[in-house]
Amino acid sequence: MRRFLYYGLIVIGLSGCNAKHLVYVHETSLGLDAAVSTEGTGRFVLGYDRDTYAIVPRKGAGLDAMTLTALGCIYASGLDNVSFNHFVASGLAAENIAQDDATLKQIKTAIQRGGDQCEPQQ
Amino acid sequence: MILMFSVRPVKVLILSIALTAGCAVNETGLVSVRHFENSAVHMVNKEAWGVYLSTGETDGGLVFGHMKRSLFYLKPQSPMDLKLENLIKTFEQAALRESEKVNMDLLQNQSPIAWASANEGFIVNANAMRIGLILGLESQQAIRLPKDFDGAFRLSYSSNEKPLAGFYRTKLQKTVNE
Repeated sequence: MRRFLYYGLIVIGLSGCNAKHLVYVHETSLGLDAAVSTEGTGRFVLGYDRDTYAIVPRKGAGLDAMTLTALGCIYASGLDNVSFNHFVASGLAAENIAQDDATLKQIKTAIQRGGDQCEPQQ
Repeated sequence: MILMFSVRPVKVLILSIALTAGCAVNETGLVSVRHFENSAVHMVNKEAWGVYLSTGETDGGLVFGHMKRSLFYLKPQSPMDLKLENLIKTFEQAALRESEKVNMDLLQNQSPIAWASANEGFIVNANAMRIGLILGLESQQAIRLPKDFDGAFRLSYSSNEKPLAGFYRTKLQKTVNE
């Protein structure tokens, strides 16, 4: 068992250095869930768990992380009633959007379905 | 001898369940597949009961039970000027409409940029996203963009409403899917 854990930690550690994708995830599990992810996360769950996370890769070794403008609104009620709303822009688009307050406000309103807060769907 | 008699009905029962529930591989077999699209995105919905095997890069694995998933793929698109004043309006109007004109083999060879999945039963994941197993229920909503992605992507997914997805590419990329 101890050896298995060591191998698991090594796999997670190695994969954490090599994120090649920008990832936004919301996941829920009930029961037994054991997994390692190629994007640098690992999990072992016995029971109920809900995770929301993002992984932003570097542009290259030793370089900065990606340039991003991202807004998200996730509302979950129960196991299968999930509303997942995201907007993400990168590169030049991210720079332009981040400097435009009116556009940012529009995006936020759209992501939050017209409300001031992240709310459930009616 | 007693053990043989007690094991045989169990084997017959498992075999009967497997045969009556059916099995499917990717888009072949007892699986419901529907395709939707707008000008920028393909969406493929799949649902299956029984044994389902997927060989896709990001959803590869085996499900014993029930699986339901929506996969979003980018269409080839030329880079365009980003018009901020119409950005959200453009995305909101990009309704996904059902269509049968699609080459599923081409999509199967691409990586989806987003997906939503719900599985129940015994699930073995062996794909580019995760390696592991689940016994019970799991659901996942995810966006996975390559790190050279240059543009804007909008996704709205809900179990109760029609999904919405839009994409702007602001610079030509070497590869969209890795």
